[in-house]
Amino acid sequence: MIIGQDEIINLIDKYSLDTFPHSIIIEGDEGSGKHSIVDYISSKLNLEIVNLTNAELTLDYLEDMQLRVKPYVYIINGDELRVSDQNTILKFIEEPLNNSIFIIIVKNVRRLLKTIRNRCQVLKLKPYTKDILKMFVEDTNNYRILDICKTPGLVLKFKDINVIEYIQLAEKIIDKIGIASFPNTLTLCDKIGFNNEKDKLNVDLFFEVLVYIFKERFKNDSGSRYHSAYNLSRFLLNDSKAPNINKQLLFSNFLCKLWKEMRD
Amino acid sequence: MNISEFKSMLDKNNITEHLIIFETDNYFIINQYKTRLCLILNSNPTYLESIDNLLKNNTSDLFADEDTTTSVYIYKTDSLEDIDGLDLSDSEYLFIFAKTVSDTIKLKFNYNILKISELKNIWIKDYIYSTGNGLNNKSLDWLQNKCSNNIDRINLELDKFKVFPNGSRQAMFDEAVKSNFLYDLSEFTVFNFSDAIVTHNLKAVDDILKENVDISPIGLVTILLNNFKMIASIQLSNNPTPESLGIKPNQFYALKHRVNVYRSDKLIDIIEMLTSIDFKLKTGQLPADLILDYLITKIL
Repeated sequence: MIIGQDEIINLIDKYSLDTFPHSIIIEGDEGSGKHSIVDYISSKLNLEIVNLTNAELTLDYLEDMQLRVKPYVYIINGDELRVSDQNTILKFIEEPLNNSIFIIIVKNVRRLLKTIRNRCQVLKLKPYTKDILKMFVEDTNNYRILDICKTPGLVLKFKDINVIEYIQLAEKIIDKIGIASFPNTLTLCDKIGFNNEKDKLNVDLFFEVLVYIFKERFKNDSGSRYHSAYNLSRFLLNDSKAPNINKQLLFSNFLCKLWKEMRD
Repeated sequence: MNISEFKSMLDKNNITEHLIIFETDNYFIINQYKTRLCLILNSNPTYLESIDNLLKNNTSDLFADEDTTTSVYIYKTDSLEDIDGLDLSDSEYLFIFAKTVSDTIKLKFNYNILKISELKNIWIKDYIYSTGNGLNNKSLDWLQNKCSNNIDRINLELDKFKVFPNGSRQAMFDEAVKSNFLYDLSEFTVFNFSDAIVTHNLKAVDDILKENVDISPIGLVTILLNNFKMIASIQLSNNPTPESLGIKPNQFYALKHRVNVYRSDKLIDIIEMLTSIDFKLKTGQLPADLILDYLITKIL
């Protein structure tokens, strides 16, 4: 069951296999339910899902797909598509497969070429209200995470951690970095579990909390320092999503910039 | 004298012979003995261009007060032919390091000659096992083999790891091996290159680049980043001590000569730049074949 996206579900319910759009873009933040929508479509049309995200998208491969008799729901992660890959699948979109559906899932539709966007139906997931997100939080004492998390997926990731610990470290960073020594600042990396260490903070969740805390500071004091700090934290979170990136080096780099920015 | 007699002198911290002639061409041995002897005698060495200098300087003045300050003289030569007119006082010591010694010398100073035999591989292994703290025996054996049992070269390379904390040395060594460490048995390694950059030694950088050594840029970035972080931990801390930084005193003092080569703000910029390279590389902003040029331009 999909909660909070009634518009999209109602739209999907109107289609049958014959009338369903052949090419779709599903746009939404991380954890907003893009894959859940794909599962819903596949279930409704009774089609198997084939994930093309890690496939080598050559013209030969796509031509081979076009020869297949059995229809599928093909999905691909648009956030990791290079421009050359996008040009390859454009041909694929222009000559749709028989009874198959091609779905691109993406966080920001502007990442895709205009020529692709123009040829696909875009389904944009709505932001979730706090009341809906509460349904995903079991412990009512943990409602603080609803300030940080905007999607069900993120709420589910946060529910098993002590979010207060994360918030305290983020606040300590923004409050103390202006007076801390540079070597001391770099030791902050030791507190984050870049190799999934269980006794340290989860790196992805910590970056989310950083952005939230810095945004709150900026809202309360719109001085240029907090604005720069907030922007740096947004870039950090965004850059950390790049494939195979060394997040420890990224965080060290962020600390260098933040340290310089927050000097009096 | 034989080696056990000499060793006994060292063990007892009592150098009874004022003239010792070491017949060896092993640079490593020479340095080791020289350092130890000066430590025991509590005196900085005076290096002689020629033995004659010592003989000329050794004029006795009947009216002068006796000089009781210990003087240690070191003389190095390829071939020692003869010494005539040597008269050392009780407070003077002469240590000669010669590759070969003439029969005349052997006749005149037989007891004072210590012939150092070539180091056996097993002795070299013992030595590096005892000094290669933080590295496992497999790594040390590999290093000994790669350096063809050249103890000078082995010692030089081991020294490079001593700036890192004990717990990090194995990881740094493994990284260096991945970076084609000693792959081509070239005079220079990625550590020499990083040393040259860290100490702002433009000539050394130039020499290494001219040699066209195959240095892994990613390995170099890793080593440079660790080096600069260690330097920053000393240069940018208030009243740093080995204890406050969690490093051994010998590491702390080894790093001290690298401090203040770069201005503090430049140091921070360098660390910021080094930590950005991984992202730039993986997002296509910096081609891999340009990393070396990028590093040199940005740092130097």
